[in-house]
Amino acid sequence: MDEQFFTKEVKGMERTLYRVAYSYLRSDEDAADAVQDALLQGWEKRATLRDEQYFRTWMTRVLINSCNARLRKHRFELPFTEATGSSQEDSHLEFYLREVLAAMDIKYRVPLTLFYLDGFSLKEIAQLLGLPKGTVKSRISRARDKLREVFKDEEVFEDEAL
Amino acid sequence: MKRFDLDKAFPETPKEFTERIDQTLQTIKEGKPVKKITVRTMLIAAVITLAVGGIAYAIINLGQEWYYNTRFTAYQEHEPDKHQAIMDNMQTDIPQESNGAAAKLADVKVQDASWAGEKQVFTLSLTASAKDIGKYELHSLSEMDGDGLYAASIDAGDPDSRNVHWLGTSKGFGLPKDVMADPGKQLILIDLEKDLYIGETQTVLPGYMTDVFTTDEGLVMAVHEYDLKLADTAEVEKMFRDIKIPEGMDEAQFVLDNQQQKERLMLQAEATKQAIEDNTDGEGYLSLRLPYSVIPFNNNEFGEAMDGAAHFRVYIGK
Repeated sequence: MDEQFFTKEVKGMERTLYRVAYSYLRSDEDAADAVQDALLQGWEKRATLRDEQYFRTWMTRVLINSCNARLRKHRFELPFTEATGSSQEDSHLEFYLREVLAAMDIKYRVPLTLFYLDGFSLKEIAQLLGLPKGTVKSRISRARDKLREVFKDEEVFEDEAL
Repeated sequence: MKRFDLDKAFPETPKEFTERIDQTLQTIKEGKPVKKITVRTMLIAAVITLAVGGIAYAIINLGQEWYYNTRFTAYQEHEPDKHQAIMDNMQTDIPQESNGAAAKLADVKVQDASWAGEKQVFTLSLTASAKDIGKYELHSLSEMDGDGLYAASIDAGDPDSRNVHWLGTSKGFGLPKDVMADPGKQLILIDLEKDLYIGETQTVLPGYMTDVFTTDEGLVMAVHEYDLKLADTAEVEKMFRDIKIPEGMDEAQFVLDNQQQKERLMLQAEATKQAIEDNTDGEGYLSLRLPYSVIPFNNNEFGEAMDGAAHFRVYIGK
């Protein structure tokens, strides 16, 4: 893997990197720190990626490790520097989504966003999080139930098979 | 609600985040030379090798100097001051002893430690090996089922689902009997990722980073890094200084949340600092305790975990 490939792939998954780091850390500053660590570590350990087609999954795994390391470090908790609330321009949907996701336990929030937003399969998420596939499935299902509790009048991913 | 609606729960990717990625990508360069282990260390290793044999060579090399110059070189390249501080404060002669049932199965040795007060970082490396290498083969617990596809009951819809445990070794990833160096031996797994306690107290040193892996020599090695800033009330105070209230945030609630967290952190920092003072002797040696556990594995079943602890002292100054 050369520098050009690494850079191109990272730039192509910037939003995913942000969402994953933010899901874990709920802070823009911490998310940026975690991604920086992950990119440095990923570049260091690039030889461990045998097949470049799995770069996205592999890089996400490195980032999750970096986020977990930060969470371990911050077991003492860091200042709550980021807004999880809304701005005045937000729609009701955005406002409530932010509130629900902010309140959701990390073990539900992360698989939910990896599955619905970042397009990872159940199997890939199981590998990323080091969990049995059945557990991932039940956590996503539980997260969806939590959304349904709030959005009673809305269909929540009804057209999406889990 | 459609799946793309969920993205609205996240803020826009901040400009600073994108800039940080760009800055980081600019620092990576193809084929950067890795600083070699110093000539002095190589000479010492060579002398000991000649005197004692191959195992001594492996142990001498499997410390932090090897780790931070070979396996994890990010500090060397991107935080050279921190790297230098870790190297400058390295202690290799660590007074230590292990006890507990696990200590009867595995030899756990603190290889070296570096209390780099000027950079407010403490690092530690350990190696573990089976006590009776004729009977047991030791691996890290973290190397079992690392792919996350183990399930108690098989998922019929997933051809990769399995209800047997797989182990990752230098021979590959599969059934323990297929990837162990010697499947005739009893497999035992060690957990070296537990909290580090100060003396005999229940106060932990705040952890930052952990890396546990099996070396080519077949030893399980762990390198831990701890953040001493969180044991310093002045540093905690600094963390809360100049925090801007994010747009759209309820100011009163924000101030209250931060105040409560700051108070908690300050108390914890004071407790940690006090525990460090209480457990440092007149010569400047701090007593520490690192618990670990060893778990036998047989016929796809984990046996009962046996606990142990390494008790050791590091010099932190008077």
